[in-house]
Amino acid sequence: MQNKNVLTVSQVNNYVTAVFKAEELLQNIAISGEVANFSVRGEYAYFSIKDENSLLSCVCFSLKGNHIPRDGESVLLTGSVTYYVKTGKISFIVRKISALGQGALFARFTELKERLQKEGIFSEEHKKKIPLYPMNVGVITSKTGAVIRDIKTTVRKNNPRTNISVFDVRVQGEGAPKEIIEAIKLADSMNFDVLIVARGGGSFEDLLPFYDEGVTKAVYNTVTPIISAVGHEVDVTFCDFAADLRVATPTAAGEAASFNYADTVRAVKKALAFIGDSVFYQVEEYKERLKNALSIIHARASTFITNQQWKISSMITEISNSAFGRYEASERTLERLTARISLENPLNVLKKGAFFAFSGEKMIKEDDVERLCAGDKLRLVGNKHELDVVIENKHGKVTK
Amino acid sequence: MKLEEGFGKLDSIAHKLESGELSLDESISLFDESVKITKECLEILESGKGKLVVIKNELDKLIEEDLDD
Repeated sequence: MQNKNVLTVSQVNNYVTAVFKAEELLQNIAISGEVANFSVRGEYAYFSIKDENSLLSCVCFSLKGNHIPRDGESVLLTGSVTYYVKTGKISFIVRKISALGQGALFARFTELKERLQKEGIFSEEHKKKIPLYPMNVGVITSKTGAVIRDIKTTVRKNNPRTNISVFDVRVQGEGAPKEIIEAIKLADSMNFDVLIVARGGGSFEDLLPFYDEGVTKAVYNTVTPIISAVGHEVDVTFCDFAADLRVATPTAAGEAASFNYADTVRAVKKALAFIGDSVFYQVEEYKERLKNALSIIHARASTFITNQQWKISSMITEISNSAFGRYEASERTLERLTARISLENPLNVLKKGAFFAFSGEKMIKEDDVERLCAGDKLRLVGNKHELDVVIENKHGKVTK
Repeated sequence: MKLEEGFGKLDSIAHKLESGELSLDESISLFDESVKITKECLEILESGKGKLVVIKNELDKLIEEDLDD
């Protein structure tokens, strides 16, 4: 190298290229690592290969006969490291892509997932119920972007009265997990009805914070029910597994964290009216039944009493009739006896116009006539008159 | 005196009078007695009947009051 000469950019780059080409360690080598950001443009495939600490840009000029990897997949690449003169960038020109099974990072994630599973972080019985009528919602996500907008729009459409608080955090890159954990803990202490932790779609790398053990456990440990909406439909992060509810999109999270206010009010009103009506009708029905029962009881009781009264009164009539009957019979007996006696009343003759004869105070009977002489004075006593008479003569009865 | 006793006496007086074997004096005195006995019997009958009427009226009133309720 000629230090004292001023070189052009091309000269430098050409030199570096030559050095790269001369270095055998960079030619026809095999690299193992995980694929990231795999994209295809025309015939070419652009992606990166990485391990935990390092990343290398790759270009494959023909995918024919090659394994087409997914992001996160561990692969074995063969090719050469080149220095691209035009841009001054280093690329690995891939000739061959081979699947290598589980990459190291993936293996670590698998191991973490198994451990979390064993600890019960993902267990169904731990999951809290999302409240049916949340009014206060805390959202842990980036303040900017479509995610928070979609959530707010959906919630407000359902129920404009819902309070939404946003906890602004970085959702990717280094430091994101710490911010997310702190935001979750803070939000959990603020008595929200429900929390949402959300992030839009992205590469596996972008979603890494949501595979973080700390974030996953923070989600698991909330007292407040928490909804996870991270990535797209196909991405299911540990955060998703640990949350009480996992949804695929921010819109779905908004739906889950709100209720249709108008519909609910209508339903409640209808239910109240129904309950009121049915209680009213029930009371009326019972009143009617009670009335009927009372009138039946009253009718039966009074029929019974009336019957008893009639029985008593007819018994009394019978008794008094027979008592009166006894007296009447006695009266008739007495009448008959007195009639018999009065028929023999010696005074009856006077009523017929006869007279009794008295000598002094003594009544003259047939036997007394012998002792009477002509010239004796007698008194004749009749019904209405008394006559003083003198006997002219005495003789036996003249029969005709 | 009981009513039946009076009836018995009256019956025997009637028999004696009907036999026609009595003197006028006897028949008059018997007749006189019969009037007394009859009077007593009538008194017994009247007082008994009066009690019955009172009792019956009270019962009738009682029953009528109950039925009116």
